Amino acid sequence: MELRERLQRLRGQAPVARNSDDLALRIERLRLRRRRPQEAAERDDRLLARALGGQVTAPGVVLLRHRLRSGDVGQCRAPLSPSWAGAAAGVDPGRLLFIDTETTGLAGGSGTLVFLLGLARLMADGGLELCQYLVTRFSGERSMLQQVAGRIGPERVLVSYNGKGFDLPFLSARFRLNRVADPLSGLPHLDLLHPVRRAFGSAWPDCRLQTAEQRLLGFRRRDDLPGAEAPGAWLDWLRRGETARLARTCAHNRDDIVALARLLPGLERVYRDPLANGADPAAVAAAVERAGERERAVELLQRSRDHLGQDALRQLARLLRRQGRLRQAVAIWQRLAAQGDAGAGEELAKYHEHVTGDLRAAWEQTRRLPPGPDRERRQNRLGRKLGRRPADDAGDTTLPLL
Amino acid sequence: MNAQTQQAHPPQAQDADDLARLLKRLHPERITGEMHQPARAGEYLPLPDGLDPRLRRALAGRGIRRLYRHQHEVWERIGRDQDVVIVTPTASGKTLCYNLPVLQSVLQREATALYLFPTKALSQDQVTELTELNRCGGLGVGAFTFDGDTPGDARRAVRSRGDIVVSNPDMLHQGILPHHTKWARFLESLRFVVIDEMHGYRGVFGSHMANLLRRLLRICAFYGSEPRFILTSATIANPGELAGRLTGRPVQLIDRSGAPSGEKRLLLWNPPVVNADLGIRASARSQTVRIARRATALGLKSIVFARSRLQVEVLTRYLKDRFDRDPRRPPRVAAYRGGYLPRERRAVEGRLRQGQIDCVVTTSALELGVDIGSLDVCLLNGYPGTVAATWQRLGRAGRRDRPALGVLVAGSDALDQYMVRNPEFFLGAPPESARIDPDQLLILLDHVRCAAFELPFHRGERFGSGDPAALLDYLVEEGVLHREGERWHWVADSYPANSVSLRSVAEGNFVVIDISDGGKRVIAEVDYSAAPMTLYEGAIYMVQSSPYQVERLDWAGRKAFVRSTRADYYTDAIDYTRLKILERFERQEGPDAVAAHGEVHLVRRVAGYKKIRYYSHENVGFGRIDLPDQEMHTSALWWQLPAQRLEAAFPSRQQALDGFLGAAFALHQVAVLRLMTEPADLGRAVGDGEGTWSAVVGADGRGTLHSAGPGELDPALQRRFAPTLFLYDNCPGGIGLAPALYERQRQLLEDAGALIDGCGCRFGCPACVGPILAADEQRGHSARKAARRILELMHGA
Repeated sequence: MELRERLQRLRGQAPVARNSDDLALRIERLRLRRRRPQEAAERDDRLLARALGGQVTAPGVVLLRHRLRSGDVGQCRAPLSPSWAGAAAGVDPGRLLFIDTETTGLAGGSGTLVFLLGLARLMADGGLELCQYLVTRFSGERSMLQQVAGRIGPERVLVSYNGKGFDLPFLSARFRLNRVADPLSGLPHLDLLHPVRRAFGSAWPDCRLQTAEQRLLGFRRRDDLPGAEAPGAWLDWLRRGETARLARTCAHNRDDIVALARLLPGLERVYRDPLANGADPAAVAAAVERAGERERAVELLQRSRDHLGQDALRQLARLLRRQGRLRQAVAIWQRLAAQGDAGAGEELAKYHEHVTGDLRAAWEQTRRLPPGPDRERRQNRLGRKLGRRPADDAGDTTLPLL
Repeated sequence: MNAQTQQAHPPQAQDADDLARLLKRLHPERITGEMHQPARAGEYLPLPDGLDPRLRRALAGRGIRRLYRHQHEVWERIGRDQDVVIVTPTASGKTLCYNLPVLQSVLQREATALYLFPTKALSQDQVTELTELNRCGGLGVGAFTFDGDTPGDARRAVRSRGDIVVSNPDMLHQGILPHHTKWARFLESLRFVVIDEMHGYRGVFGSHMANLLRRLLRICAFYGSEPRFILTSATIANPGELAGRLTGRPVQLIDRSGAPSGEKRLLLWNPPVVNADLGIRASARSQTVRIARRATALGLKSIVFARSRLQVEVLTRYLKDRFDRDPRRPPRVAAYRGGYLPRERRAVEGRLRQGQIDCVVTTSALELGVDIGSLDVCLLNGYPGTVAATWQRLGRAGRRDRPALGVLVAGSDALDQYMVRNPEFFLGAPPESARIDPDQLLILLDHVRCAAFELPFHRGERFGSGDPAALLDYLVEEGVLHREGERWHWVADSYPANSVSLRSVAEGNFVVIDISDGGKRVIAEVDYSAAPMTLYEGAIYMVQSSPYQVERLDWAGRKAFVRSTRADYYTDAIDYTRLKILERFERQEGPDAVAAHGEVHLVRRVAGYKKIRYYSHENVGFGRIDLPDQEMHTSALWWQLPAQRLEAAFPSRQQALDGFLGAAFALHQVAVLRLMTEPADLGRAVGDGEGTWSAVVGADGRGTLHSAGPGELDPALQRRFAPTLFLYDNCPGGIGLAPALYERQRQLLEDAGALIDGCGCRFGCPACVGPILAADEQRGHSARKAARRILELMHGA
């Protein structure tokens, strides 16, 4: 080991402090490296499959299947509403494909392996069918990806939690590295993190999946292996053949996927009645409005009027005006303008100029606006209408003589 | 490219030759050397036949209807599928050399190209240039920059639509290669890698760059592409060799410029001595300002290069005080440097191109290829450090139809003084060689680690010229790789590129954190190996010439907390560096001396520091430093003299020791010069070669001996007294400086001797054997003579 000594010398490391732990680890790695014949690896796969209750579907790949009854999943039969469900809105629930992965790290890049890919779909009876593809060694990755690719039809709509930022890019890199066509990246995708964050981002300390599970579904996991331990669990298996933590990682992944399915009815409730569910009504109303349901947005805002901030009030007034409910809108603008809100002042100016025709009131409002080209234009126009010309002296804010 | 299209300037009453004549008449004694280069006509060839008609149209739109000979030659060689390196002067149309074949293959073969520039400003310029061509020819080529400033959504567009991506090595290292799957489309079609300013990739940085290109080619092979390299470089002694070492392939050298150039003249200017005893000269700054004022008064356009941002500001103020006193007139003097906002810089560039500025003061920021039109006079306030950088800067002045003048105004430090007093070195000698060592073990290990993250290694795969299997097994033992069958896979939960800096060797850089206004702002990063000498508590640490004082050093956390200060002194660490010779690779034995190189073990104790006042260089205080000893294995060149020779040559061991220390100082200066390296990359030490003691210049200016224990040793009481003078590679494992120095050790001794002989001081000064305190002079024994004697003995004269 001449190279090792040189490197250690150069890197200023002590010449191999052979304390017992370290030594044991080293020997373990060396031993495992030697024990690599194909039959041994295949025997390991079978043992692992048995321990986890799955089957070996290719060298280095173990498939775990589970079915959950509808009672364990929650009711999710009606199509989801467009106010929050994005790509999954209105889709037949049977087409939804729930997805969650476990990886060898969070760093990203081509050195991070997806060793466990969990997929699930809703059955006609409301139950959930779950498939977990476990890679037991590096050489199994390609087969795993091929099997997955072969089973995912183009009609699927993905549902994940933070999958757009995490699971999907990671998987996409793995497909590319293994030269297998990526069946997932082109699919429509609902990332539940986004509607959750929109509704609760300002209310909750964080928007992790388990937080959503606890606060929204009142469900607290017991004996959960933290996701951060997944990489270590897989390495334990890879290096030492330990299965205990790996089994718990599979259970964790399963729980995450079930949580995805259970969140759907939960979010449906939240977006129907934000206030009752502790969500931010303004954010929900904005989403509802974007989905084209103006009536319902107005209704949501009206119902929670006492809890709205300035932005939400402005939003409500805008919606009311569009619906022609001007009197109500004006009432809100007046309240806002009294608090010094320039936008509301401008709306009032417009209202007086174009609707009531009360040019003097319009002038009064305009005068209070912050200086700038907008105010100047408005003042000039009002001035002309009022029969005067304050074209140059836009700074003159006194009422023109009639 | 601009040279081909530029209009002749209206005749002016005065030209740069008039200024040269004036300077020579006024101060002949300050001019120590002169070089003259006559005007040269351009050599042209018609646009190549195969050129895409759209490209032809684009060129016509830019007023280009023919090519310089070297541009044509590049085109031909690329057509023959060769890698090329282009070494031609500034403003010789280098950009077009590579843009032409690149655009051609983008247009005709849907190829992609990666441009690597050392700085962001240059990348920006490059894209502007390409956009211009694009517009003129309606080419529809997607050229984008990709660097740290590129926002997230724009990054996706660059990856999916970029035909030409302009980036830098750090981005390739940390942003592109580790995420190569996202770049699959781009990499599959990658046909050209353009590396501009190749001469900058030398030493540690260059060794990293070579490995980075190994990684790039490895990933390209995965995607089935095999790009060609087009490199450009300023003048160095070994461009072809460097290009070959960087890319791992034979690279064709094209170094005959076909661009026309005007008459050029260079003057070496040494400010007058104002205190002969202390060897103090008038400041370079005052001289530069005078010459710049003369140039501007004559109606000439000039550029002034300063060595720091602070100097830029000072010089600009002095010149503005003279020429821009009337606020109603547009300013004639402008500053341009890093740290300005891009918008400001673009504005100055524009005004320069339009000839609205008479004098621009800048740092190296304008040394690189930013287009600023052409100027008459180039002033260098201090030697830029290398011959290559000097020529690069001087190239900024010059037009086809008018003479240009460069003036190199020497500063008072040793390097400058050597340069200006030995004009033949500068004018006659070839420029420096740029050296890299791509197989430096630690650098190699870093990149094998990054490469393993990017793609698994398989047995038998080569990395560069070697088989990385042993390194991969080492990484398995470290737990970051897992070997399965014939392949090594990455298993760690980390992103190795983030912990590998392309500019240093050891891991664990220190960050310098400014806590001045209650905040915590990272203002610099310092190499692990440089930290103990620069970041000790009490140290004055300079960032862009602004002084900060280190308040606290968190050694384990690799952080130094600093506060902005107005101190009028700088600090200089006193280190006792003991070297023990482990292995001797080669030796030359003279009548008196032995010179050798080999591997050494270094123990450095940073014991304290001196506070030295600016300008006067007087010692105004001491401080203690309490840091763990630093240890390092590296390579070194050393000279030894036998005890009996020393006893015969010197009346006392003390004098011999002083001589060794002075000789080490002088040798260090000339070695830095010869090797084209940063002074900090090369260390010097005087010791016994067995790691028992080391010698430094003490508080009174005399050499003192130190062992591992506290206090001083008396040289006279040492049983054995055989001092060894070391020049060593100041990074773990070395970067190949020692063998290169060994090859020219006799030359170094001669250079150092010449440095001392040519110095105007009496006993020694910072420009030859190092600062000498007044007390020393009165003692009568001359450190300068002693150093000279040591050099003679070593040379065997």
